[in-house]
Amino acid sequence: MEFEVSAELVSIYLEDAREQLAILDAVLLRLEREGASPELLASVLGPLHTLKGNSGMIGFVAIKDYVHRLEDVFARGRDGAIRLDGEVLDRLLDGATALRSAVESACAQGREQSDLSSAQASLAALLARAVTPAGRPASAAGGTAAPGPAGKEGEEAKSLDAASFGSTRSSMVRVDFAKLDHLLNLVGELIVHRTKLNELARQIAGEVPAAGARLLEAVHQVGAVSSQLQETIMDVRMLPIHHVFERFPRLVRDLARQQGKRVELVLQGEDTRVDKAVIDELGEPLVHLIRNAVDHGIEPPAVRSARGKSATGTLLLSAAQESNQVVITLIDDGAGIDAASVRRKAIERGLLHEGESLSDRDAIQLIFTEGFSTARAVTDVSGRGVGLDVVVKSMERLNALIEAETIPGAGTKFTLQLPLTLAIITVLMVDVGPEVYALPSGAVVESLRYAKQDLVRMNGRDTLRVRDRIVPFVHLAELFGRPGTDGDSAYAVIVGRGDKRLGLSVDRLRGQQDVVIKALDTAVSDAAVGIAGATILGDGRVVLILDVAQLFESRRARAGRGRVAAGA
Amino acid sequence: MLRKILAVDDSALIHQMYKLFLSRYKNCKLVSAMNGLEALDKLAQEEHIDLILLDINMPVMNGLEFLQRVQKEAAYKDIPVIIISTEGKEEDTIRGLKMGARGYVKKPFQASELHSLIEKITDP
Repeated sequence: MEFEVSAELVSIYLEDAREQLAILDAVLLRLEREGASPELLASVLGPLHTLKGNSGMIGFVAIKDYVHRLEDVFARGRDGAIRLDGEVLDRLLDGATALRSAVESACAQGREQSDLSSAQASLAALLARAVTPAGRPASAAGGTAAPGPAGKEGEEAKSLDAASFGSTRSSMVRVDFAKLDHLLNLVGELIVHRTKLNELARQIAGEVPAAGARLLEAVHQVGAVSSQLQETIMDVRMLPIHHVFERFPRLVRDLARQQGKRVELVLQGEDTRVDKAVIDELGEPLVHLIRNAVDHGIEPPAVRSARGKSATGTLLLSAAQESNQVVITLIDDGAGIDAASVRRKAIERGLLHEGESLSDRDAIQLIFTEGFSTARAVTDVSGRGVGLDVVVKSMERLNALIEAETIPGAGTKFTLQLPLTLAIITVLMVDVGPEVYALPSGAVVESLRYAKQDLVRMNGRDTLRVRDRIVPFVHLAELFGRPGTDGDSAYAVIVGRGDKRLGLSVDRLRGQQDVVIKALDTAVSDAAVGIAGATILGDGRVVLILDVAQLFESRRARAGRGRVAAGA
Repeated sequence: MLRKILAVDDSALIHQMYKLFLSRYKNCKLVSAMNGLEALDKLAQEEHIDLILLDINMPVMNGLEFLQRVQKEAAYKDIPVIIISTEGKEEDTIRGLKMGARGYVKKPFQASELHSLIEKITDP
């Protein structure tokens, strides 16, 4: 090759290839469900053709050759020479998997790692078996038909066009995500200055009323425009959650087949839009939950029938926006989680003391604890020794909450509450002594007023009874080495991390506000336990944003043991 | 002297490669379009185009239909067109050449192939 295949070229190639492969998967699954149609086959030929061209350009020859064969198979399918069903589809689905891993590894290494020869041979065998239409010899290369008769160019070009893709006019531009990030940061600064300007204008209005009023009006207009600007930029960063969901039908199909189960995946709310940064983090935990549901939730068909259920299990994955959060639920109609066996296992693993009482609801949440797994046999599906704690870790990175509910015999529901974006967060401002702190609203479960006598001392630590739940309690003033307040009552903010809850004492609640997070220097953040970042208020004051996950950790560390101290 | 090249392809990768390959021509501006319709738009917007690099298989409006329309317009029909073809679509290349394209390069192409063809076609 005369040029160097740069990382940039590879990443452009990979991004496109993933899209093209997603289309391939989707078309294969539709073929399985609804059979072949010319439109369906045409919809995959365009993307495959582009993938072939791109693979060739970047020097991935085996991938290019394989895609070329795939094109042939689909083209022969369209001509009716190959029936695209049953075993043929299985081969194509296997081939799509092999192709995907070949593309991913080639991009990761910068050169091809596999020659795809067995997948290639499998397609060659299909093509060789193809029925020859109207006595024309079936060439293995296929697709390369003789040039059409002269004079028909216009017509042929038209039909080719109609068959290619839809007819939506593209007005898309590719933008580097980092640029959008930068843009958002700038708008954040703008909004901080706007608030400052607002306060200045107010002061001036107090001193020089007439001019001040006009100034306030002008500042107000600047404010309105900058809010719109922020909303627009946020909107540009949003992608439909379809980008995460699209690979799950294939995943569920393969998992179900592998285990001899029948599972129907129903997707809802695929248009729900989420910040790309959240999208990028969301795939892995969802894959894990889905694998778990198929692996441990949905029963084999015979068992389901015996229990009076339909032989085919249902997985419902839905997303919906609720104010500034996205709520994702995954519901299976499988066996449910048995609280008794969770308890037994937890005791075995030393996560729970024998005789320690725990409601069924709370016992179920133990499945999120590190190293916990209820499967009787380790299957190769959910992975060895990797439990739902992986999911919890992702949720923490996302500032998200997760909860499980189960009805034995009827099924399990996982609920994930995610922020719409990671760059701007809604915080609850609280006073602790003379200082103002901010708590991410996503982590705040509720806030309430409490009296000193509501606190119960357990194992030398304060806890707060919140309805039927005993919640560990932390005095923030104490934690940050400030003098505590002496009043008889104060406010408690109950925060959650995954399924756990923690109460924080504060002196006053100031209300909610959207802020742009500024990261702290590592020199500062290493020393400051429990601080996630900072934000600047309109009056120039720096407010520290508390890191809820770290507050849980420090509480656990100080409790002395690695037990689920905060899980009560 | 080459000034403006209109590259029409639905692949972002190919556009990036054009940028790389054509960087050797000083003062040459690359105009990109993702399909035939966008390319017609660009032709109308840009004052003057010296060369068109044309992919065939594209959504919305494919290369052959674009070529047909360009050939009908007096203002555009003299702009040289190079077809960028892909293996397995030889018949389309032949059709494009019959319709008035001046040459073709087959994907995957090397920078030197593209350079020599461009120079043959555009440098008097």
